Amino acid sequence: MTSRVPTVEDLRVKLCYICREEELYDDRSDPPTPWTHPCKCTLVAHEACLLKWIQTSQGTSARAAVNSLKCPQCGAQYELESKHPVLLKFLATGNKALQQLGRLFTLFGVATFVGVVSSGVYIIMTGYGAWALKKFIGKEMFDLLLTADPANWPYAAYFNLPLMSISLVLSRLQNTSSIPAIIPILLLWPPSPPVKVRQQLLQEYWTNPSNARRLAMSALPAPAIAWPPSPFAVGLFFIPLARNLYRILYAKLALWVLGAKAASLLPSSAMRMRRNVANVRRNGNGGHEEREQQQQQQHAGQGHQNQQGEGVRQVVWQWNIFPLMVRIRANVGEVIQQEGDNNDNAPNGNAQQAQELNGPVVADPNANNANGPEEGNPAVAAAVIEAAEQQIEVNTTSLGRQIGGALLIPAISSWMGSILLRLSWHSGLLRDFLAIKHTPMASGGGTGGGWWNIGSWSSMMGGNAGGVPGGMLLFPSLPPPPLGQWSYSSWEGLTPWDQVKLALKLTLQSAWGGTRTWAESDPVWWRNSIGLGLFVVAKDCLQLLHLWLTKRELETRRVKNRDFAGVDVDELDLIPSWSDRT
Amino acid sequence: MASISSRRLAKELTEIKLEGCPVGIKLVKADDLETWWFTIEVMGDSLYQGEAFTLQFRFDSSYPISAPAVQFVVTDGRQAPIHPHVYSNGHICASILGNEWSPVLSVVAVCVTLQSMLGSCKKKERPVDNDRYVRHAPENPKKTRFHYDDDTV
Repeated sequence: MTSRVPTVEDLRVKLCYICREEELYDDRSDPPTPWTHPCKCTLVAHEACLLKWIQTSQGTSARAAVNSLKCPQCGAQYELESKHPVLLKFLATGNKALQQLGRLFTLFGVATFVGVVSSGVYIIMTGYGAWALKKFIGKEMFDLLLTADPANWPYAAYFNLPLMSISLVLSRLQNTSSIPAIIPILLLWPPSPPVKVRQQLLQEYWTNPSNARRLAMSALPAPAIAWPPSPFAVGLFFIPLARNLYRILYAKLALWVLGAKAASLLPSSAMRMRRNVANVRRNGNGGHEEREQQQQQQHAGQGHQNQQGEGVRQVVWQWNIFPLMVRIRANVGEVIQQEGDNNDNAPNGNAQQAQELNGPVVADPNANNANGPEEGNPAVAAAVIEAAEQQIEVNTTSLGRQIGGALLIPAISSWMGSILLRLSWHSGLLRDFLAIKHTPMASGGGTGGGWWNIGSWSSMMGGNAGGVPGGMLLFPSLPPPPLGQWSYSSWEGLTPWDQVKLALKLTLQSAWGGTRTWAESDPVWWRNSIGLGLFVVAKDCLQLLHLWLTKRELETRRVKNRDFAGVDVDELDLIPSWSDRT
Repeated sequence: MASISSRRLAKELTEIKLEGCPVGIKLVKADDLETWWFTIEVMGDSLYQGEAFTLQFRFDSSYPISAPAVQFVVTDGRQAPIHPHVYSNGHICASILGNEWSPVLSVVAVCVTLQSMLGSCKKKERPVDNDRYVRHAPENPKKTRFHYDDDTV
């Protein structure tokens, strides 16, 4: 008796720690429910309750499953006994493994699909980017920076090229003008060095002492300031400056041609519209207060367009329906800037429209009579322009047109650039302005009096055509060497003064002219930029002309008046004087 | 199995009524076996001196195999305590209400645990992600998967 240990069956009262049911030893349920004491402390439970608890917990989280397998009081591990043959273990493991494999396969399949699709898109975009760059900076420069073989490309190209189409489209959607679209190209590519293959060729040629000496000699007389300016300078300063100037001028031109404000012609006018809707609502009814409001708005340089009535506003919203999303964020900064630009345009239309809205009121002290000569009634003119815009704009709202236009920008630039090149055959001034240096004919070695002679390397090296021997044409397709230390073998041969001059010249050149690779190649990008600018101007003028013609068509519309030929005279109620006359 | 839950709840309720709750805990209402309300106060020296909070228990038919849904009541002028594990919508991030629940625990045991959780609080502040959680929180705190990372408070 001494070593006998009691079991759960020997308890007088059994209390299930799970369901809290009690059972007295002499009051067993019928049929008897099995009890269990699974741990080292005093807790006991119905076996069914405990199994249910364990089973439920195993279905939730891993941690809950672990917790459920030990006693909540003493922490002893429960031991489960079951029919758990090797086969079951094997099947369970196999099932788990298959499940994992399935999951992996799903993941892999999705990843493959996404990968294939996105790499397809990537390849197309990269291809487009390469094409666009080649169009824009010209084949020579392209061959120098990238070459047609992607194996030579620097790593950055694999990011920059595909992003080009995106940046083109985005900047197109943000701005009605296409000029800013090329800024990314100008800023992105100049710093990139020539690809290695080219670099090597150049190096081999220019490390030859005799060639190097020629370089140092010919480099000396070059002017300190290069033309054209570096792509950096153009992209950062010239284009934004030119764009803003152009906008102001164009707005003035449009005002003069059309005789009143044409809402859609001013960039980012839609934005101002939106901002001013609130003002219009507040000013809903005419009156003195409203005029005051407008005068305030004049000072702010805005609020002149919203007075043209609901119709215009709707038109403009429609016009900008696609860029809307992009614009909302992108244009906030620009609007503020634009407000200043349009300040000088504001007073005319504004004051007059105020008058119009207020009905026949005494002359507004702000009314300003500096309108165009044909502007008899500005409000009528504005209404006609509005109608004309409505008529034209029907075709211009498609997203396809915007994106297609954006993607064609490089081709247009290149096309315009080649037109400029062709024109420059006839004008030395244009040739100088475009800094045309290299021609396809130069490789023919033509040393006659043709214009292309001026454009050979000699002019790149500082404009003294005579100073460069014909040997320079040995590598007609190579631009001059980047000035590394290896090309200065004749540096010691120079006088100290010349050394200082050369150093100064190089410093200035790199600041103004950018890297030598760009500064000394045929600046295709430069004439393409100019060409694109001209294209935009031409396009805008065409649009203005279209608008003006439409407006005139609307204004001159008359319904043709006919007599009553063919109508029985007796059916007409005619004035007495008519019968008198006959 | 539904009978297990109701039998056990009935039994717990009888015990509470018979023996009373521990100090600071009062049964407010237990009209049915689905929703019970208690008030708890932290006894002794604590940051919550003089404050009383209302605690709501909701039981489903799988109690006590699964934990009750416990939260502080934040309606009718009642407030949840400001505590790093208590969200302003009354939800409580406590492991014993989640994956450390055990059927050996009872309603009173949960009340006592939460009382001591408040009592040991050293700084009155909301959980760091309170606003984000409250915005997206499900109605039932049991549907939230809390991460019980801090066992010290």
